Amino acid sequence: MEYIIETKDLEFSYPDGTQALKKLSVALTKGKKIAIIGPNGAGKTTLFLCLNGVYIPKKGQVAYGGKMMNYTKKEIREMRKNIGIVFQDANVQLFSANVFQEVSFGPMNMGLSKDEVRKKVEEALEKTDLSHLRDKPIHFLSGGQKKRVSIADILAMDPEVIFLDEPTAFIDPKTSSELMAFFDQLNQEGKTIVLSTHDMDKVYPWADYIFVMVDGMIIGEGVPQELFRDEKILARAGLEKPWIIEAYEALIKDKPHLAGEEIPRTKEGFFKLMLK
Amino acid sequence: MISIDQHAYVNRLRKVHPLEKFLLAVITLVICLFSTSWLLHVCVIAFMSFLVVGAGKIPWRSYIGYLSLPLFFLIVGILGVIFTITKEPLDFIYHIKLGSWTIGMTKLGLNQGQLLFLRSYASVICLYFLALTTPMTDIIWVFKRLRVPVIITELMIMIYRFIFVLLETGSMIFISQECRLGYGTLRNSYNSLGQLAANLFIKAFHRSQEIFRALAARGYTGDINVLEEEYHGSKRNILAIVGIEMVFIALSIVG
Repeated sequence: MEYIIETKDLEFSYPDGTQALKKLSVALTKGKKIAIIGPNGAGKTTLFLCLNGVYIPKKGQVAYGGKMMNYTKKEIREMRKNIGIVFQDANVQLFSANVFQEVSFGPMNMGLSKDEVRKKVEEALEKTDLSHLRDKPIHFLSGGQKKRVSIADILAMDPEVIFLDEPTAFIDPKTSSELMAFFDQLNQEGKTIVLSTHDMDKVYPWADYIFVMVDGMIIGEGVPQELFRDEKILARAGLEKPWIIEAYEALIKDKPHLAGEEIPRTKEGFFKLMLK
Repeated sequence: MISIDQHAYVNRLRKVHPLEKFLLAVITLVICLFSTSWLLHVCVIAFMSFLVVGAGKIPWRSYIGYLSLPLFFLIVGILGVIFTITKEPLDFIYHIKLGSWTIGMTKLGLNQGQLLFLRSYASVICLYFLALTTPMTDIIWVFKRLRVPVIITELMIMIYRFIFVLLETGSMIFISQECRLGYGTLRNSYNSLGQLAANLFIKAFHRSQEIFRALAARGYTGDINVLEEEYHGSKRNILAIVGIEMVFIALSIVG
């Protein structure tokens, strides 16, 4: 397995003394769908900002694509190009007057020619289904549309890794399901997707691998079927089990002969198991 | 203000080259300011209103609404010019005596008032034409073409975007205060409004830091570079603008 980002004993404190990351070591596998879950204030956003070079960690090491990062000016530039962050609050991220200009900001900073920028912007708008809104000012858009613009912002820079900070917060269920499916598609196109979320039911069928973060540390990791059955870790992080796991556990209590079967990942899988 | 912004994006003149609209509005404005001819002012008001309602297809009801906005200020301002309060005997058309003082209208005052009224109204309408047919993004684009310093155009971009964010945040705070009886009594209202203003400032400050981080994450290094749409000028429009301005200048000389 090839790790695209690896950290070792990463530490970061805010000027007010809050230690947001404590000896944090994490290894993100290339080309996977990764989720980072944990309570508010666990340090997920801080971690993203450290890995993208906006924050410079106090101690510890970060490797990108196997190469140690020293946070020189050139490396920070590279990190920001290759690792995109979609911020939780689209209103924080979107600054420009209209959609087209907004999306062009990232690629312009990469120093591409105008034609290349135009191409990248068009592609990103196409992918996020925003082409018809290109001339609209940001403040005319709905919450879901703003979210899509903030994703197009990052896609236009064509990064290898995309961090999505609670992408489904404040988004209606239908739109958030569409977003999750869209992240799947991006992953199939070869991007490594890392998202943070509080929605266990959405993340359980989606993620390939999950990290649990509490108080600036990683307290557990694993594939979803195993991680979500670890009562100890879930209790420490104050997380609830996805309903499929809860229902599965109730089911095998009742029908112990099903315990040998594979743990279902989806609603359909669970219903199939129920009928066995 | 918000609905003016909305009209600017959906009117029929939206796709006309912004520089053309800008030049038409500004040159006409300058002619209005220098001219003393009432005929010119009336023609400008009629012409610009025709462009906005006839060509731009802005609903005339909303247009009349916008026209009435500056009326109050204009009328109040002009009353002071028309009426004279004096102890001296003047050539009044109409006057009332109050002891040794006289309040009245003179011919000169009336003429000045009329000129001031028409001139200001025509000028405001020139600006309305620009505001109702040209979105802010296009006006900023024009400013960039006219070599206005980058610091000003960047500030305009940010202010334009964040006016709406601030408005939204402010109204959210207002609603949340109102839900908790913050505006129930006059005393509470003063208190709540004070807190709203103070917190809006603090929020704006935090917001600015968050925004800086978000910009940095996309490679911001001090200049906001965005790609702009290209417009194609039309020779016909330029000729038309030149023609119209000649007519206006002629009117101001004749009238």
